[in-house]
Amino acid sequence: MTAALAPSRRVVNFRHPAVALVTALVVFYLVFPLLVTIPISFNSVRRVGFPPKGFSLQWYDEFFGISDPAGSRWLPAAFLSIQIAVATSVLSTVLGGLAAIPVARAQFRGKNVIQTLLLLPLVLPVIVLAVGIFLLYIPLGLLGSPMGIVFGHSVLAIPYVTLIVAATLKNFDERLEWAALSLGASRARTLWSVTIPIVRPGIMAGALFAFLTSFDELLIALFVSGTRAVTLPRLLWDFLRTEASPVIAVVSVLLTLFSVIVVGLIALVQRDRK
Amino acid sequence: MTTIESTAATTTLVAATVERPPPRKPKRAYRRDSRLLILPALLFQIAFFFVPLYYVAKQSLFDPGFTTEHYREVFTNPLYRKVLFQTLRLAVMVTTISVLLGYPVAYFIARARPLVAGIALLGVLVPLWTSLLARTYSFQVLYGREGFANDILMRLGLIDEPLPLMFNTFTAVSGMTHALLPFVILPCVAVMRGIDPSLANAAKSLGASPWKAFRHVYFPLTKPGLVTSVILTFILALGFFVTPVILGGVSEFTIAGLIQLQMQKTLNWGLGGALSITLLAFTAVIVYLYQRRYGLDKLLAGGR
Repeated sequence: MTAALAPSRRVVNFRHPAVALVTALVVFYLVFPLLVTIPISFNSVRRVGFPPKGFSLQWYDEFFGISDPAGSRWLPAAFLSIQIAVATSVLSTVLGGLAAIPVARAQFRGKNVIQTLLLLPLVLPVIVLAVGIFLLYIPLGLLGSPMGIVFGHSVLAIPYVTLIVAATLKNFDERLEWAALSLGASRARTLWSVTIPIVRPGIMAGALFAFLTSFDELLIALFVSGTRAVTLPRLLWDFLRTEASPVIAVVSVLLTLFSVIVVGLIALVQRDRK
Repeated sequence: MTTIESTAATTTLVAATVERPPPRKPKRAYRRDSRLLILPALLFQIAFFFVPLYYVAKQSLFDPGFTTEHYREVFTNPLYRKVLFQTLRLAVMVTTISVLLGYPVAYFIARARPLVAGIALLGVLVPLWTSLLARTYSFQVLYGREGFANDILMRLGLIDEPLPLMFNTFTAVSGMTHALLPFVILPCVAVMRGIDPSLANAAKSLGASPWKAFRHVYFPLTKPGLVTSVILTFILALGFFVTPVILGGVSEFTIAGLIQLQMQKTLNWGLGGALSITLLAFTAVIVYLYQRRYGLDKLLAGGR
């Protein structure tokens, strides 16, 4: 986003109003659907339709389970999703971050092949991976286990972390490391006290990415979760397929709000990087 | 489908880094032994990515003895052929529309004043980072029988009865385009920002019309971004699950939905496996062709 927000050289004379018009329409098309769920979430009747009737907070109440003695159905799912996303983020940041070092720097035979193998999970269809994970987990007994979901999500998250951290490492002046090494620091010490602090923004971006990848992942959860490990996307999916309750609008509004906060955070991190 | 979201954001992050001249060659030993650090990730991916793919292939070919029956079924059963064809058709439509709409937007963002470009980019990034399920739901609210679109049209007196906007190709294309537009816009912006605008200006000062300068100078320079967008959008559209299933109304709207149906409802795992391998093969061929020419890391870094 740094480069994206940075000023660019302009050529004034082959801009065209049509280009600006298309842009305005496309951005409207991208943003507007996110807003239509807001009035529905305050609907006072159990119906998803326009125009909404009245104003009520009952669907927010249902989401948080405030006046329901049985408690919320949504909060435990959201909680589980956060736990799985944090675990995925930690696991994939460690594995993906370590792999980024040779990807960015080392020269060895077969590097291209290995690199391609590492990145492949990003471009092949997730549904196929989900089916494979499901078949693998039957003999392993991992179906219905949150750990099983974490492993599946990490497959998708590791390549991102590797890419992002490797991109940061490529901009990093290796001479700082040689300086530490020549002054007697061990390899591990150099990594911990010199390399990691300098590439920290990349590592943080990678970790955030891994978190979000997991937090919104449906397919692997759909195949692994069973009835015991129901994540937020999985519960949302079940509702979307069967009910037309405005509580879904509440979840949508809260998730959109969440993404606005995340984009804001990333913008801040990127600004610090400058 | 998270892949979709995150890939584009990687695109922005990776594209954001500025190339620096490489430092002097370091000590060879240090370079060489860092390669061991790739092992943990590689072993993990072998265990949880390549082994699962092997299981899918095995499931599709053994039932319990070796058989090609499932593949024969995939390619001869009219229903499955229809789904395969429909998936390809959807992917072509969505890719075409996304590129036609996304390219001018990228061009605008690459050229606009920083503030304007920043606002437009936020309009691309916030939806991209929003849960795909939430966005898909928004389209249900938009196009439903009592949805926003029908409400507005009826109030304006343009229609008397609500239009059946949901559960058809139009809705699916609309939702998928919404989800995939950022994958065209972001790589194209990254490439366009790297183009020296004085090149097109030079062409014009030599007498080329603005259109000619664009067609023969600017456009060819944006090709890497364009190719990347097309490939990325197409392979993501091929494997798309959430949006076409919810907005198309039936599971067997695309291959991905059909696979899920076979695995979890019909419990015909052999067929589910064969369909999975078919989808994988389609995608792999496209990725392979791209990889040979440009390299896979380029695909994810937005063509640079």
